[in-house]
Amino acid sequence: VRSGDGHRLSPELRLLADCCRSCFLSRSEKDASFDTGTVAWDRLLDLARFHRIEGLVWTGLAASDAAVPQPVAEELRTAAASIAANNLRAALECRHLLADFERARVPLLFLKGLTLGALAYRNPSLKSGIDIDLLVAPADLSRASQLLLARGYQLDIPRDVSALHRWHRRAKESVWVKASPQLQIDLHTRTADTRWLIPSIDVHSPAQLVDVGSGIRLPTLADEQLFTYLAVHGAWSAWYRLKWIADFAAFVERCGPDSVARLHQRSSELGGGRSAGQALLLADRLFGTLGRVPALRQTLERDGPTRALADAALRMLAAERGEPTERRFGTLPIHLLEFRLVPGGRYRLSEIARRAAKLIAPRG
Amino acid sequence: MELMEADIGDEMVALDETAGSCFGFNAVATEVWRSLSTPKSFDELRERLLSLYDVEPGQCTAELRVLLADMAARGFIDEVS
Repeated sequence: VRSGDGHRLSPELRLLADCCRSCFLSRSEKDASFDTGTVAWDRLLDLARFHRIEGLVWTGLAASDAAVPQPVAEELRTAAASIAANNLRAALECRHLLADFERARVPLLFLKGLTLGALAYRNPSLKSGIDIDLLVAPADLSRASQLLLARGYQLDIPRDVSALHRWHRRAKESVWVKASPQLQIDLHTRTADTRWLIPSIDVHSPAQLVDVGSGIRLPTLADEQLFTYLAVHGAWSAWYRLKWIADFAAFVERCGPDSVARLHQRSSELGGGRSAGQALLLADRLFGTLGRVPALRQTLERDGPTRALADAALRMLAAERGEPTERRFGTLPIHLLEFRLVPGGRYRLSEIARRAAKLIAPRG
Repeated sequence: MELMEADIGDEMVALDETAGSCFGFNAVATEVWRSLSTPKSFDELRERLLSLYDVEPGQCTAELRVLLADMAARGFIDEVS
């Protein structure tokens, strides 16, 4: 695995990435011995929390011969159990939601979350998730809202229900919360903030049913659409959490090396811009994703803008500067990278206009 | 009782669908729970644990009794004669 372009990962971040990788490799490919010699374990714990990968880290370490200090092991084990418990509660809720939406004949897809965990890691319990992402058609927003209200959810963002339709015209999702059990739903009416990216991926896109355990089967995007969506979703935040790129790499691993070039090609056709190339290069640098696809690796490395996007994302990860929203101008580098995801000046101008409109629009 | 299960390595978390309560199973409890997917006698369970773990037979018997009583009290298992 290459650290790439001279951006050296700290021993802690390197170990976290190796743990994630061990969760999606086949048993025969796993390396049970991690390099833990210079790891500062308290720092590793902090980073695991920030990147929301405690479940993956614990699973990776527990299956290895690494000598993990007892308090660290206990903390990770407890966090992993908590993530698994939350995922079980989410799975139960998803079953109820699916039944509600099917009864009301409102088409629905589940994005990321449990379905991605089941597909990518073959275990929906490992991956941390703070919300349930639902995708519905814009025309079904009112009916979907009624179903959520009937299930005990309250609109959190925007606060005012009367602003919901206006909100969804400029934002891809609204946020709904429920106190008991404590759950959050992100209700999406499209898959990207900007209409320049993946405009055709919606609730009517090809889908697949995924078994998330306990006999619960949830619909999500089919592989090509899911690959593209994950790449765009990560790129939109410049991949600043390791969890996102680990999930992407795990999903690519599950699709197999013969599929990667096709998925990349389809991503362009579906309007993913440079996001899939960026994601594949970044995943390669962290997890060796393109090791069995050297021709595609070479093609992507030769593409200057795509390589620059991957380098910038890796730099942000390697800098370990924490939550970008908590720093003054912390999200600025992320926004600057977003402008490079689609070639051409028209996209940039349109994005500047969209963001300006968002700044002056009422917050709901 | 319907339990939803999630694996974390050799341990397990379970959710009681009706009550909404979650339970953590350590490795031994997970082994016992999985063994009980088909009915087993106490002796069969004890022999299984003795074959898997380095434990004194007396300690194994005592701790297995405690574990099964706990599982029965929570309604996870039924004891039949």
